[in-house]
Amino acid sequence: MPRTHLVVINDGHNLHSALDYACETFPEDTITALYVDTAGDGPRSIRWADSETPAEDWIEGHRAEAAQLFADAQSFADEYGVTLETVTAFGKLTDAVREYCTQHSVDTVIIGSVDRNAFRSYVVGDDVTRIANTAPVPVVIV
Amino acid sequence: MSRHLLVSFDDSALSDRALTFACSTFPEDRITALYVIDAQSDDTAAVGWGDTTDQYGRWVESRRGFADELLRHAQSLADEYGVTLETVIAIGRVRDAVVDFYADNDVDLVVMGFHPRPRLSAYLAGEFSERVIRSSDIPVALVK
Repeated sequence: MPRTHLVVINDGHNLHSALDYACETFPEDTITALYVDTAGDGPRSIRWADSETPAEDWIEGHRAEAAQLFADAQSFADEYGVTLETVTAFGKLTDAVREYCTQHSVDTVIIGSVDRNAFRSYVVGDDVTRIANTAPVPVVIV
Repeated sequence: MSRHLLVSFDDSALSDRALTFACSTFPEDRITALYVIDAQSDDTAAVGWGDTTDQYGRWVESRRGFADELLRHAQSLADEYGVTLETVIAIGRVRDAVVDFYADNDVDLVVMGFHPRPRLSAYLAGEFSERVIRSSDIPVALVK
């Protein structure tokens, strides 16, 4: 039975190693690329005085950012003959991944590691660790 | 010549103090209160995906109402000092909005609330106020 693997493709999360691993290991399964809009890229702040439709501008801009990332991810997956499913989410990264896994049939979450030294992650913790701790399914950190 | 102060305002007691500080210290000057709808630091932020863009839009809309209410509260604080605030609402990260407003306007001083927490963990967590004091050329008053 084909499984579903959720690959988090947010920038800065070792994007290609996670996708690489997923496509190479599970070419027969469904691979869903998830981009969570965490406001890191795309338009910066928009002020209400400067636009008629600031919220729409903001959302549009971030959707465009997501579309670009999905296009990059797909061209990467093409090398393995894999067609990605894509999902754009919004909200906090950890919450979005957890909620998505709770409400959809996902077998594993695959996410690239972030380069941080041991001391720093000990003191602060990072999103990848938080996802590993809170996702309801196994998490592969590449 | 009068100064222009920017107060980064949210629903915390700290930003009440920051605004009160600005109004009591510079009652003759121009004071702008900025509220930012920031899905990353707001506990009420919605989570959703796929075709639920509306959900995000609705959340922003609800925060927009909240922002109006909050800025009315800001004005009521300022009233005690006879100050009429200018108010600005933005969407994005708080830090980006503060830096953008500073860059686009002739601001002399940014005033914001500041949680005294261990400097090291604040630094490692990349807290905005910590970053401002360490690295930016923005003159800032941190009120605790």
